[in-house]
Amino acid sequence: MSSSPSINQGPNTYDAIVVGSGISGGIAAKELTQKGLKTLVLERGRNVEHSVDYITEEHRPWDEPFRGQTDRRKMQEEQYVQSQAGPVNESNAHFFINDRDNPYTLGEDSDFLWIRGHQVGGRSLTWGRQCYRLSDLDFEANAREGVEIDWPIRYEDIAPWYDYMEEYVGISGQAEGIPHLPDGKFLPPMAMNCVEQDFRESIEQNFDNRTMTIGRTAMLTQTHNGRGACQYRNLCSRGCSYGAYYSSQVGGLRDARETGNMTLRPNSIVYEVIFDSDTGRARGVRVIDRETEEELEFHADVIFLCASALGSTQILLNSTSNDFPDGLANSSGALGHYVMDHPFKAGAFAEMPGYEDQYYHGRRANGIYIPRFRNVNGDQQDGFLRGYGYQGGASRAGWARGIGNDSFGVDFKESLREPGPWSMFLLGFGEMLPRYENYVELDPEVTDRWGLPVLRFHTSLSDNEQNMRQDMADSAAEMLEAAGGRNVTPFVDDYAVGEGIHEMGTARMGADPNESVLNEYNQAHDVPNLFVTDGACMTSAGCQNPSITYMALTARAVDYAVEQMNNGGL
Amino acid sequence: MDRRQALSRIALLTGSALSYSTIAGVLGGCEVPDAPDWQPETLTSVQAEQLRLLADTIIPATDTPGAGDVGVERFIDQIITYWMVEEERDHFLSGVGRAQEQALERFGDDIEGLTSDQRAELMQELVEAAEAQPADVVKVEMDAAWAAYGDPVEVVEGTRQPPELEVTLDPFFYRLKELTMVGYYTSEPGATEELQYIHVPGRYDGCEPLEDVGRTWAV
Repeated sequence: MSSSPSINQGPNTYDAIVVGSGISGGIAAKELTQKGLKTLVLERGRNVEHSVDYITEEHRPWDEPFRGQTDRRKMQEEQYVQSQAGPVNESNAHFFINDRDNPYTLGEDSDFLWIRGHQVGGRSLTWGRQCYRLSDLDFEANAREGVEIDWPIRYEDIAPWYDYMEEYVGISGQAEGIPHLPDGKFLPPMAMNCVEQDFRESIEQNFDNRTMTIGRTAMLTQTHNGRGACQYRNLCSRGCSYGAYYSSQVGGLRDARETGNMTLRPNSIVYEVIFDSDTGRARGVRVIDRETEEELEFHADVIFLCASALGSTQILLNSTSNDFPDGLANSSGALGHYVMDHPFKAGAFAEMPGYEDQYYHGRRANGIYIPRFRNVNGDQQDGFLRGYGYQGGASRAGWARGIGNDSFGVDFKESLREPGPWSMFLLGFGEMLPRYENYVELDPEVTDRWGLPVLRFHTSLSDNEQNMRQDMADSAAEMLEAAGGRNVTPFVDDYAVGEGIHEMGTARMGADPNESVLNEYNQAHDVPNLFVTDGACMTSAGCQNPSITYMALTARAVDYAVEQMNNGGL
Repeated sequence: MDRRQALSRIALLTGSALSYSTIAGVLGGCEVPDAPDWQPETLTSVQAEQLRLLADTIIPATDTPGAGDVGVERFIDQIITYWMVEEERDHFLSGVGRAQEQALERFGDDIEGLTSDQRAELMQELVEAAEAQPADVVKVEMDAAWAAYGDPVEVVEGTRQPPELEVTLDPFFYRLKELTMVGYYTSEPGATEELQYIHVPGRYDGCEPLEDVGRTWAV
């Protein structure tokens, strides 16, 4: 490919540009460079070198200045949005943005938590690492139920790409033969503890159509592709020098760099894709250098937007021209609409009596997974379409169980030397329906510190999600009761859209250019050399953690793009 | 859910993948200065010594160090100086003052002058007082909360705003006990001598007999 003449000649000219270096951008960079394309990877945040920049990795509990919680004042001043999401803590807060530099606005009756990691590697440094395939239960859902538009692909289109990506990334998990949660190319699974093993048995005995498996996670249970196995420290989001969980640092970017074809440029805020009206193609991108505030232009034959669903959408909305007054590749008007996330924060927990003589060794940064059992295999719910899966696990209470009671003294101290009772915790992650009314737009007034219009969110939950969240709590409680749990406590806590950090859907795929932004290969209907392969492409959400799907779609899109380029079809 | 419920939920979950940051997320913590010539920043030297002794009454030395041996009073001074807002700090310090008054009333001596048995009796009185006193939830304007530090927050109008800061004014015993326990069990002696901590476990075994594992994992 690199031998073919480029129409864009010059010092800032490449065969391909990838915008973003997270989960999707890392894979785009690897695939493009391994196919011989000179590729520029633009990342808006600072550089993060593997291992070198994992500055808190070696901290012991007593080394943490605030013992696990970031300075409350600093959080309130600089990370008042980021700190509201579960994963942010003292030892990883430097991998999340400063909210004062990156504001956004809310429409009436809307809320959204936008959790971002502006650095090389993006949120692949801090992600939850859970990897589940979508199936035709998901790809056919919209068409089957008459919700919005049909996906332009089916499971068979993506299955080989799941294989390809799972083998590359390294996913530990257990094959279960569940048609709607297809098995993958798994490394050996992590172990369940005794309570989890019995809980699985109880579910299978007491409930048709339900089972439980160990979490399928992008964490290595053996050395793989030059990376080390998990050491069970449960410090993942600080960065892992063993390379035991997948990140762009130890995956896509590493392998792209090895080809010699990648130029990685951190601190490069892409704010516009340049559209060439004469050719009907994208010519390149405009960039503000975050450090020098210099404005730059880079050109390429093909452009991959992998800036996260909302990041890519913001760039397209901001790329206006006579041909595309409402944002590039937006002749359909779908751009920015159909925001989805995975509503969660509903479930149940209970004390699990017994097993007093059993404990565990090591901190497994993985839990269990209960695959969707609602509206599948004959189950039919009146209150909601689609379904949810549970994540969770069993553990024994530690010393903190002594807080909040009246005991003190020698006996009290001695009592905490032994672990407390076992408990089991189930947390639902549900599918959110695509709705036109859930959308982002450029705010007409508010700009960020670089003078760029910020996003304005119009997002809320519908009854479908509210009813589903109640069922997450009820069904979890039911399973805990059946397994002999004590003090079973269902909960439905406040949740804001975005809090699942699975935002998606704002440049959806579809067969009809009048209703969708992207075609079946993540290629913009309107602009043939423009691809969007992050979460923006999702036509529906599934309830599965989405990153492995983005990776598979990215690799598939690159394969298609390069084939088209080689055939002169782009 | 009130804070006591939140704490008990967290206690139940302790030991899971959620444990450490979740607990600390609610409770907070701070680096304990270990300089030999340490001087408190907010406490008086007398209050620091009184808190050291009270903490040691909650977690006394046995065959392992107690809370009075690992600098819990230094941790408490850091928390009230850099983490608490004014309302929390005043509330906590007035609790220290009342404990001292109770010591004088009951035993005719300062907290520092009491025997360990007398301190245990005093602690039992603090427990009973705490049981009788409900916690107060106070909403604090963020700017006001941090005014003492300068740099009031300016957030662009119309953008997603910081949440309202809510603080809970716990009865003295509960807050003291919480600070004592966090300070102790996240200290090196508390984590590694009283309990056990391995930075790099290297393996996961989900079902190991407790007698082989030994004590509670600190994290």
